[in-house]
Amino acid sequence: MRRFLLIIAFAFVGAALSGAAILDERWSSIERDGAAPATIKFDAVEIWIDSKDQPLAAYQLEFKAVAGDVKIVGIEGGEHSEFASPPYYDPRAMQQERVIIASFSTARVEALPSGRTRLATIHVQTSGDKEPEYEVKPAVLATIDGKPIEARIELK
Amino acid sequence: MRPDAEENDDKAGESPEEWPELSAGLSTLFRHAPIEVSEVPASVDQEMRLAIRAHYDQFFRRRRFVSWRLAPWAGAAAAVAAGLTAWIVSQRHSPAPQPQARQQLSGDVDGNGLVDILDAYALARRLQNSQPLELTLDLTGDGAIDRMDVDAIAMEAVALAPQGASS
Repeated sequence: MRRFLLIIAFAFVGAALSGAAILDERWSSIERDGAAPATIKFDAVEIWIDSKDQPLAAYQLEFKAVAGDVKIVGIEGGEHSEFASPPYYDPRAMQQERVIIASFSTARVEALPSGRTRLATIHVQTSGDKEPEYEVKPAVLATIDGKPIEARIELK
Repeated sequence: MRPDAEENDDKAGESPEEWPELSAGLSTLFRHAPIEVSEVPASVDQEMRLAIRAHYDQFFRRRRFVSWRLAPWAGAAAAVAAGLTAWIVSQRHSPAPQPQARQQLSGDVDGNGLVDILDAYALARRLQNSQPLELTLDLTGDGAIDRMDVDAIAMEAVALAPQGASS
């Protein structure tokens, strides 16, 4: 009988400790989230390129939020069929404010986009009152055979 | 049924004087003079009772001793299990550790000292045109140079540095 009581007591202690750990975690998260509920919005930032008459074969650029509380939540491909698939990016960029995206096409020159085209769309989550600001820095803009081209990048 | 059992059954109802072997065996066991099987002496009865009680008393004492000796260990095990449970629960919501360092790839196909999307593009073009390829371009180490290696170079080009380091 005493042995059973002992087992029940230890089981009770174990359950109490587990419950305390769970409650502590929940209280912590409530305290973290409890301060001034921020307004959360979702937005899409389009990255456009104007390569004039140069066909675009490859690009690599860095997108970054320079103001506001911004988290990247998704990345979408461009409007041209050769760049319609989502570009390469590091999955660690999700929930961060910075990402490097890149893509290329080995299609024939006639099939490559030229002029103004949307390269990609970055989906972001913003919170707080501060207006978000973004910047984009191209690292590679190249035409067929990897030759660099002059092109204008803009965000919309 | 065994033959000797059948024999015993056959002897059921016979007088004890006809079982000299059983009588002798019992006498040897209890170190008494030859006894009559039909009359088990009170001393033998008592001796057997005491022997049985001594045997079971020892057994129960040992069981009690074993259970109480293990009780602290059982308690310690329960405490460890409870602590482990609490630790697992607390760790469940902790942020995942960031990789300490990214894998270094030798994907500089164009040899300009940088790994960027143009390296992936160059390898893709060479694969498309069936040009000869160096074995060093097998970045995935699967024995083949293919689209997987192109993807590996591209992923290296866009990789972000671990938190706290510059890319």
